[in-house]
Amino acid sequence: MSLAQLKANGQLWHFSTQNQDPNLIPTGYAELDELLGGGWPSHEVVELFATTGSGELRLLQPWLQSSAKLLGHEEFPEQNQLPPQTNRQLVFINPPAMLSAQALSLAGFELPSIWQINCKTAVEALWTAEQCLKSGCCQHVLLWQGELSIAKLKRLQLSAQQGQCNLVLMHQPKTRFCSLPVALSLQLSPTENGLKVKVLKRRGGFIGGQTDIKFSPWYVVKTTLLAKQPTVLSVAG
Amino acid sequence: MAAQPLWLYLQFPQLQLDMLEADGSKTVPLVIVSSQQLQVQQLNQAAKDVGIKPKMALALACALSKQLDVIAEQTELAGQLLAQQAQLLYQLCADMVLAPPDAIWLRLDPMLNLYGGLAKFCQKLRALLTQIGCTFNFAVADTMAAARLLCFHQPMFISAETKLIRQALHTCPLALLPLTPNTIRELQRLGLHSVGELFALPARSLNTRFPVELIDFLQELQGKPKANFCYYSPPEFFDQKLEPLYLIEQQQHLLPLCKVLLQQLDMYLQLRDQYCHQITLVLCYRDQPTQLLVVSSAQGERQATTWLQLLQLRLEQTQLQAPVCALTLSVRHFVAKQAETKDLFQGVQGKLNRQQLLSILQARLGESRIFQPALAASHLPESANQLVACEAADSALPNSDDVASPTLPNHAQQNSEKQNTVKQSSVKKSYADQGARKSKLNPSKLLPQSLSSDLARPLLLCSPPKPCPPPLDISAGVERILSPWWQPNFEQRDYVIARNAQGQWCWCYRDQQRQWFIHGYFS
Repeated sequence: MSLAQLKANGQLWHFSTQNQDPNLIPTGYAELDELLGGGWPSHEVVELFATTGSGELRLLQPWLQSSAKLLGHEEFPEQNQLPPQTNRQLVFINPPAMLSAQALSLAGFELPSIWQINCKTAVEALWTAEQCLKSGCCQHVLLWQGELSIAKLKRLQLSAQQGQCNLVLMHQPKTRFCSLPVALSLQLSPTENGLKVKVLKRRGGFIGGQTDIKFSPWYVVKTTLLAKQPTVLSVAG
Repeated sequence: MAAQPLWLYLQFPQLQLDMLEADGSKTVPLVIVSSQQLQVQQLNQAAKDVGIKPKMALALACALSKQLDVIAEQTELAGQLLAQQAQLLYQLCADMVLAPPDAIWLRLDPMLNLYGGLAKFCQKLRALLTQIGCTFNFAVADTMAAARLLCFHQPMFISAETKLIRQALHTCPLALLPLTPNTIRELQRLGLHSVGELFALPARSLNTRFPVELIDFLQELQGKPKANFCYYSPPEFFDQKLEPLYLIEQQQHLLPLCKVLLQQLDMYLQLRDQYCHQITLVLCYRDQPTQLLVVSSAQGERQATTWLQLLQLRLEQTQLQAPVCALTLSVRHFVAKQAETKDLFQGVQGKLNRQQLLSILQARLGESRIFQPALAASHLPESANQLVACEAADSALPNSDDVASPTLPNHAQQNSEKQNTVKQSSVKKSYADQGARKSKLNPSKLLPQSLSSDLARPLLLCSPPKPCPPPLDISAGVERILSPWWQPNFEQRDYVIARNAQGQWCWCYRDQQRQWFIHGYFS
């Protein structure tokens, strides 16, 4: 097999050309874009190790919201009124707690396009994820799941490509599984007012890079309130 | 010709025997005996060779052959078998009338245009019945009664010409008429032996001398429609039963039988252009209760081979409780072929739409496992944030009535009055539905004025809130939320945003008893 063939198959690549991957979707954070060489991979499996409540979904939020628009609006600006079916589903499988409708609508999500699915067993959860991924009517599937075998991950990966859907696997930090062949694996650790993102694995890229992401505070107005009335709350025992 | 009715009487003289001999003809003489009169009703070729004849007494038949197999006639089974035949024949003919226990009338005149003549139809019918491999007799005539009579008198009589039919009828002996033996004996004593002689007599004289059943029958022969009959309509569900002659102890021996059933299902679905998601195989045991095997497929399937693969996988995991004596395949729900709509530019190669995916998920997981977040107009987080189980039919457009003044300031109070203050579990379903429907319309319209962008609400809510130690690192606060004062368990909560040692952003509150709770995480 010649070098050109290997290159064409994607088995051999130059790091310098990786940035031009057109399928990457901007993350919405400049630092993260730089770290990931352009953005999130599309129709792939992404693995996140993060503490629940450390801002991990907030990191994903621009991605979860942007994809539908990117696909239609930019290429055909004259068709601004896209039919509603382009709103593909966003599926949360076995999230650690109940999704808040208030928070979702404040963040600008369309509530009817969101499903929370609570499965009884891990087998059911995997089955559900696979069905959603390959159905073609889901944009993102977020799966909170324990350990996965490589065979099952491959299956999910193929389903994601078949249905052009993104799968995000959510793990608790410090759980060490056997290394899975995912496209991207990130470790998130909380910082003062943001997250530290460390690349554990990235297909076709360097590993070990890390960056700090600063969020705007949750409480834009509330901080000023607190500043004005510092005596309202005294930490009581 | 088209105006004249034309009927075909199709009789299956030995349905039960045909079923028993379906897997290869037996060399042992076999008779099926009516259990009341103990007379031979059906018999195979081997029995005929020994000299056994229909209507022979059981004792005589047993005396003729040492190794005679005797099986009791089952009327219930005969009914099922006839229904199976009708289902198959429905492919050929639309109008059929069942004549239990062993015959079917087919109405031919509407079908002749389709098949291009009587001869071609009969050819098709013969081909189908030979393929099934059952014994049959039939005859064609212009009335139902005449077709039946001719079937016994001149089997395979095929003609649409009234003249020929009359001729054939006239030679028919009276003994074949479906009348009581007394009436027939009376007629024979008068010197009448054929139907033709009966027709020659004036109707009035017959009327005075013979019971009304004879007159009715003669009128039916001549074309008066039968008093009451209803056309056959195919069953709504698929239910087929197979009873092998022997007990089956091993799973792999069940597969050939399953294949037969699945092929029937395939044909059934093909004729209706439908698919199914789930099939149920019922294994019947002699003494133990029946065992159900449910096999489902995410995608609607029809092909016997696909189902057989799935069923084989399922059978391998199953332990048979006892030898199987019968098995039934039943399918209750059918789906239409899934229409594929593709966006040319989006390039999504999906197979399903949202509703189809939902129905598949619900079929496997159960109805109440797929939720959709929904807003309700309330200040209490427990009431404002709801999870509503998705319903299969929620694709319907919401009514415009539901939009009625959702932004009224006192709306929140009215609604929150209807439910208990803080108990998530006590949210009434109807209310939750109402909230969901409204939220689908336009969430921003529904939001109370206070729920503007300066609110901080956590994405993940704990229900119920978890007790926690007092938070040390408070980032923002305080937001006070009161439950309605007119409710029995009044609560006052002071919410803050705090970080704990693990770096989680928690939404904590302190109640009136100065207890701290975590109510959610800013994820």
